[in-house]
Amino acid sequence: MTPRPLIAALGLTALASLTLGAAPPAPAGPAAPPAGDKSRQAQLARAYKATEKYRDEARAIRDGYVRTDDCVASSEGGMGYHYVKEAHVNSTDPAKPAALVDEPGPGGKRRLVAVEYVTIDRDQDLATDPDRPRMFGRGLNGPMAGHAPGMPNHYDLHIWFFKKNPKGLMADWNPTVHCPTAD
Amino acid sequence: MHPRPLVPALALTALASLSLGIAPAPAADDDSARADLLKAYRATVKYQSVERAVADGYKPMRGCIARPEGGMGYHYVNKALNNSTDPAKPSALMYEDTKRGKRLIGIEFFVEDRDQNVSTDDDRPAMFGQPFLGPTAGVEAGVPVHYDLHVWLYKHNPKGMFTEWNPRVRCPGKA
Repeated sequence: MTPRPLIAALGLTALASLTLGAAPPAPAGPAAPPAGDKSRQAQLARAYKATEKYRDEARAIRDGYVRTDDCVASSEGGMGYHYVKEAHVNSTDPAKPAALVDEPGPGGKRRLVAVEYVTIDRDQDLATDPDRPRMFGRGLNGPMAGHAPGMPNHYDLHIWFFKKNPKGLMADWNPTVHCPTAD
Repeated sequence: MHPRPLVPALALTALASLSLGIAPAPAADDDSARADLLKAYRATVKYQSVERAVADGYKPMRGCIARPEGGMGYHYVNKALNNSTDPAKPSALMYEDTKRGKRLIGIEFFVEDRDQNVSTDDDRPAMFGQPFLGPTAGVEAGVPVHYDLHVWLYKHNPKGMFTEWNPRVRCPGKA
C-alpha cells in the first residue's frame, strides 16, 4: 500500500472534518478511491469513528480494553502496547476491534496509534486457512502464531489510524514505533 | 551440541545463588531445587541452537516483548508442553537478538489456571522452590488465565534468576 497521508488514504473528507483539532495535522489531499471501494471506505470510517475516542486511555480502559505493560517490537518495526478486549476477539465488526495499540510517549504517557482485529484460527493449523475473515476489502493476515505463550494461532489485521505507518496503513509492524528499553 | 564455556559458568552461578538464600525454600528442598535446575539445564542446553528448538516443536511467537523494567525477548512455544511442570519440558524458550542470530537466554513454564478465575489460586504450581506468578489474565488476545515462571538459565538476570523481566534483555529499536 502506498504511504499516503492517513486521512487522504481513507478518502473521506467528512472524516477529515470530523477529526479537526484532534487528529495529527491531516494534509489536505484529493482522495481518489478506486471505484467499487465504497464499502471499504465505509468500513474504515466506521472503525475510525468508533475508536477515535480511545485516544483517551482512561476511556479505553473503562470500555473494557485491558491495559498491559508488555511492549511488542521486532526487527521490522514496533507494535507497542496492546489493550485487549476479549469480548471483541473474533469480531469482524469494524467498530469492535479486539485490541487497541498504544505507543510509549514522553513521560510515561501513551498514545493511541492503531486498532487491531483478531480472529482465532478455528483449527489452529497454520497450514490451512478456510476460515480467513475479510474486512476492509481484504483478508486478515495469518494464520500466525501469537506474541506470547498461550496466545493461540490467529488471523489479525492492524490499522494504523492514529500514527502514519510508512509501510502502509494495514502493515503489521510500524518502523516509527519503538519500545522502551531498560535504563 | 557443545555448550560454550560461558554457559555452564552461568548455570553454576545461578545454582550457587539459589543456595545463597534467594529461594525461600528450606535446606532439604534446596537440594531438590538444585537437582531440578540441573535437569532443566541439561534438557534445554541443546536449544542454544534455535533450529534445534524449532525442529523439536517450539514455534516462534511474533515479536520481542519488553517493558521499561526489562525484557523477555522472543518466545518460542511448544504448546504441547503447556501445563508441564517437568523441569526438562518447559513450554517456552526465550531468545534475544545478537549479531550472530538468536541467543537462548531463558526458559518458561506456563500453566493454565484451572478455574480461569484470577481471584483464586488454590492450584498455583511451584518449581525449583519458587511459586509461579499469577494467576494473570492473558494480556494478549485469547490467552487463558495462567500462572507462569521464567527461569533465566542462560542469561544472568540481575534482579534474580526467577524474576519475570530481565533489564539486560532488549528488544530492537531505541527508546
